Formats: sequence, C-alpha cells, structure tokens
Amino acid sequence: MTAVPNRFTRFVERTDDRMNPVVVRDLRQAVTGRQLSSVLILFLLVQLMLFGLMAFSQNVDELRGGRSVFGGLCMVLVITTVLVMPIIAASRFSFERSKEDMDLLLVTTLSARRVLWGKINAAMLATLMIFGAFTPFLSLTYLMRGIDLPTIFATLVGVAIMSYVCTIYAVSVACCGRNIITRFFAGVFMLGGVMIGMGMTIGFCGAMAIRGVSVLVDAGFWAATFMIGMFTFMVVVAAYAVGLDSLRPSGVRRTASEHMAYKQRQAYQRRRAAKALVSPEAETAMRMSDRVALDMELEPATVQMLREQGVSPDDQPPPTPATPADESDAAPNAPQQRYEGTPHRA
Amino acid sequence: MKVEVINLRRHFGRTRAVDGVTFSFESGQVFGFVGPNGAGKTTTMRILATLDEPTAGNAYIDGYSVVENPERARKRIGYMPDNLPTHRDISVHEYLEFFARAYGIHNPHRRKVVESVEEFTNLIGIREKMLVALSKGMKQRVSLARALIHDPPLLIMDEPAAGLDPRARIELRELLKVLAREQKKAVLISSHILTELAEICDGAVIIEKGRILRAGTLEHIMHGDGGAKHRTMIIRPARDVEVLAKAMLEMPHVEDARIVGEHVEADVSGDAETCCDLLAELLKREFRILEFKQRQADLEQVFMSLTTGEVQ
Repeated sequence: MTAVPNRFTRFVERTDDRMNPVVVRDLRQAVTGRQLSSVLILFLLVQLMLFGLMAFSQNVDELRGGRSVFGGLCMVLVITTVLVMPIIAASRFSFERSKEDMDLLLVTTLSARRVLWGKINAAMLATLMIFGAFTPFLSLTYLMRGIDLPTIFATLVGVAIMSYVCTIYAVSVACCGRNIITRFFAGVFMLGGVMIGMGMTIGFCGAMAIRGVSVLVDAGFWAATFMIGMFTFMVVVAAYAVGLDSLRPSGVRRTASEHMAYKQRQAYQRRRAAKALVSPEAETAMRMSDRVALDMELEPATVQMLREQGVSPDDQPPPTPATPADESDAAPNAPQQRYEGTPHRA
Repeated sequence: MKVEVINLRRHFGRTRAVDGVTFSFESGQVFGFVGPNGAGKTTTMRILATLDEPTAGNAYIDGYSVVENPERARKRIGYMPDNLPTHRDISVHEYLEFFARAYGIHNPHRRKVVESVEEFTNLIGIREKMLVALSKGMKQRVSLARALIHDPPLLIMDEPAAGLDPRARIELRELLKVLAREQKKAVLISSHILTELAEICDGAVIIEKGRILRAGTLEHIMHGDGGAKHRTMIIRPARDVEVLAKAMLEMPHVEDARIVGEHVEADVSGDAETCCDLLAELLKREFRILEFKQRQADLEQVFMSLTTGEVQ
C-alpha cells in the first residue's frame, strides 16, 4: 500500500527537479505578487463590462450577437496577452538585469539560454492564466450564437501563438543594452515590435470573426501568413540571438574577433618570454616577463635552439619580486610581487 | 585547491582597471584584498567569478581557467557581491531553494542542503520572512548562505562587512573563521575595514590604480621585504621602570628606549632572534619582566603609507 504514494512522490519530485528553476521562482513571485493579480482583476472587469455593454445592446432577433461580443472580447484579450503581458515580462527582466541579480544567476550552473527560456516560459505561463480567465466568456459568446466553436478555438490558438512570439521577442530585446542609451533604443524596438505583433493579431482576429474558419482554406490567407510569418520569424530569431549573446557571462560572450585578439596577446607574451630565454639578456628580460611566460609551451624551434646553447627548456629562472618603489620606474609589464600562500593554521 | 591569478589585466579604453595583478592562495586561507575605491578590486573579483573577462592574463581556480573553462571554474566558486539584490515577493527559504535548484541540486538532497545552510548561517528563525523586509546584516547572512549552497571550495566576498553593525561584523568574522579553518575553504575577501582583515586574514594584497603595491603574509605586508629590520618592543617590568629603561639603552641593538606609563618602549634593530637575546639578557640581569611583546604595526598605517588615494 505504501509503494504507490512513494512512487508518486518520486515522480512528483523528479518532475519538480526537471523544471526550469527560473520558471518556478518567477511563477511563485508572480502569484504572490500584486502585478499579475492586478492585471487579472482588471482584465476580468473590462471583459465583464464589455460583455455586458455589447450583450445588452444587441438585437436578439438577429441571432448573431455572439460574433460581435466575441470580436470585442478578442480585442481585450489581444491587448492583454500580446501587448501588456510581454511588456510587463520584458520590463521586469530589464529591471532585474540592471541589478546584480543576473550576475548571481550567471555564476550558477544555469546556462544563459536556460535563464532566457525560463523567463519567457514563466511569462507565457502567467499569460495562460489570462487565457483561462477568458474561457467562461467564450462559452457565453457561443451560446449567444453567430460564432462557432472551431472559429473560437482557431482564434484562441492564433492569439496564443502570437502572444508567445511577442513574449520571446520582448524578453529577448529586454536582454540587450548595458547602458541607458542602448536600453532606451532596445525599449523602443521592443515596443514597436510588439505593437506590430498586436496589429497583426487584431487583423487575424477580425478575419476570423467576419469569415469564420473558412478563412483557413483560403490560399491568399496562407500566402500572406507565410510571408508575414517568415519576416516575423527572422526578426524574432535575430532578437533572440542578440539577447542571448548579451545575457551570456563574459567568459562565453567573447566574439570571434575578441577571442582572436586575446589569443594573440597571449601568444605575444609567450614569444616575448621565449626570446628572453635564448637572448644574452635572458636573465634581465626574464625578470621583466610575467608568470604567463613561465607557464608557456615552447615551440619546437625554440627548444632546439635552447638545447644547442646547452640550456634545458625547463631551467627557468624564478621571477624577481619588485618592490613598490621599483615599480614606478619599471616597464609597464614589470612583474608584481607574487604571494605563494602560507601553511594552514592548525 | 589553489587559486592563481596570473598577470591579470583589464582595460576599459585607456583606463587600466587591473594592470598585471599576480597572486595566489589556497584552501584554508583567508586572503584579503585591500585598496581604495576604484583600485580594481571588484574588477579582479568579477573576473575571478567569471563575470568579466580579462584583457590579458589568466586566473586559475583548482587548475581551471576562468577564461578558457568558465563553466568548470564556476562550480568551484561561491560569489558574494557587496549587497544582496532586493527581491520582492520571495522568502528567504524560497530564495535559497531557488539557487539550490539553479546549481542542479535535486531533492531530497536539496531539502537537506538548504536546511543545513540555513542552520549554519543562523537563518532558521527568519526563513519565511520576505527578503525585502530583512536588515542589512540579515541580508548579508542570506547572501553568504546563497554563496555556500553548492559547497564551493572558493568564496569570493566583495565588501561583506560594509554597513554591518559591530555584532553582525563579529558574527560574520566567526563564520569566516569556521569556513576557512574547519571547512578548509579558500576565502578571498575585500574590505575597507582593515582592522577586521588583520584579524582574520592569513595574507593580503594591497592594490591601487590596478597595480599591486604589496602582497604577502600580513607580517610581510606590515614589515616589508625580508621581515622587520626595526621592531618596537613593549616591556613591562614588575618594578623599576626607569632602571630598566636605562639598562636597555646600554644594550646592543637597542636604538632607543623610552618610558610610556608602566612600560618601556624600545626600538630594536634586528630580527626575532635579537629580541629573544634581549629578553634573555634582561632575565640574566635579574629584571622581573611581566610582559615582553612586539608592537604590531597597524594595517591601516601601512595602507595609508603605501597608497596615495589617487584614482585613474
């Protein structure tokens, strides 16, 4: 008898462990916080008000009141889920990035990609709550006639997809920019993109409300959707790539050119140290070289040269500590004092 | 576990925030990082924590480069910034649990880890409190707990004692001692409160304008290269302070002797052996000595004499 709850508990724990930590935390914060509940209550009130106004102003004899009410409600749903929720998610993330919180997140074993998707999915799950609140009103529009269930379902799927796309775009753009100017431009881009997304979704909802699911068998509709979809896809992918790159900690953020420059600097230091080993001023030069030089891997030619001179490549003189007084006169690359640590205390 | 910082450089345009910093320390040591504001302490610590990249040079944590292998290095680091970001709508326990998840610690181990860390940092009583409602001292405790959640061998602490009251400071100091001495963690700590550092650190680096001014054990930092050449000894006799002062002036290696209250302060040229000989000589001459000690140089004085306070 005890095996069942144990197995169930294990399953729950395993599922819990697999969840993205960012999603868990953000959802907990969203549920206990005021922002989401305020949006939800406001959404419900507007829906209720709109529903009441439109329902009682319809001519019941036409038997098509449901379609008008559905159109009005869709407007509210689109504004909330495609515009307001992505903007809230993006602004929260942008605010979080401006503090040290993101640093703390990035020194964990979580990858930047997981952090970003965690933010996106947490925002989307909160948006799904809005969709949940919309369901009772939908059933009422169906009962009012003038709209069929496939149209309602197809519209909801379309709005949900656009909401997800806009959330990905808005949260990705919110990652960009480190100073106030770039953040301002990122904000403008984000707002512009989300507004365009909202416009497209309203167009889709309008077409669905007027023509119903028959619009889905129209070749012209699919051609336009394909063109717009491709453009949207490219914009969102670009925003995602830039956002992810901005979010990554520096160690992984290095671009190809930066990486090349870093490698060249390291190689230069090694060459300089190798020269110091074989030149007559070896000792002096070595004192001027740094610890990196001592860790170098010598090139075969250098090793051969050293052997010809009777010097073992492993015989490297230790760096001489420089006193602070010396350092003011020393070359820019003069060595610093090196502390080797003290034995452990008992 | 050894931490090595090798010829580290970080330039922001023409500003050399970190300019050829080299030092190392290992498990069981508390290592201080001292310098005026804008000296490059935080930049160095951020590079060590894999949050920034060096322009040149490298740093190794347990053999893993923070540049080439940041993912592996990160697992060995507990980073504690100077202040805990204030989160709304999240409790202390939820916050720590979140970071345990972020470090990939699974249940039921996660529950135990979070509880043990809360117990170690004395957070059990406030675990259900919201983070925003905590005092500065409590926030620092939470920050320390967060840094310890994955049991890292290296702790990087940026100004952990800033803004803490004396009690919280002493508690933090005791925690650090336990972490270093008993749990054998390497601790890199930056602080402006030099008296605090002097009490807990095994070694330190004094840095200004991105360059190391002095590095080594505290003894080395306070007395310079090759140990002290001149020491001030404080000798407290049972009686006859004036006779003792006079006798000391006649002894070899004693450059000066003066009476300060019930003590005699003597400037001695020489090393520890010379001081031992001096004490032996005093006892031989049948002086009754109650106290014989060396006056410790003040880390603050050393810091003031080494640094100019200029920023780049």
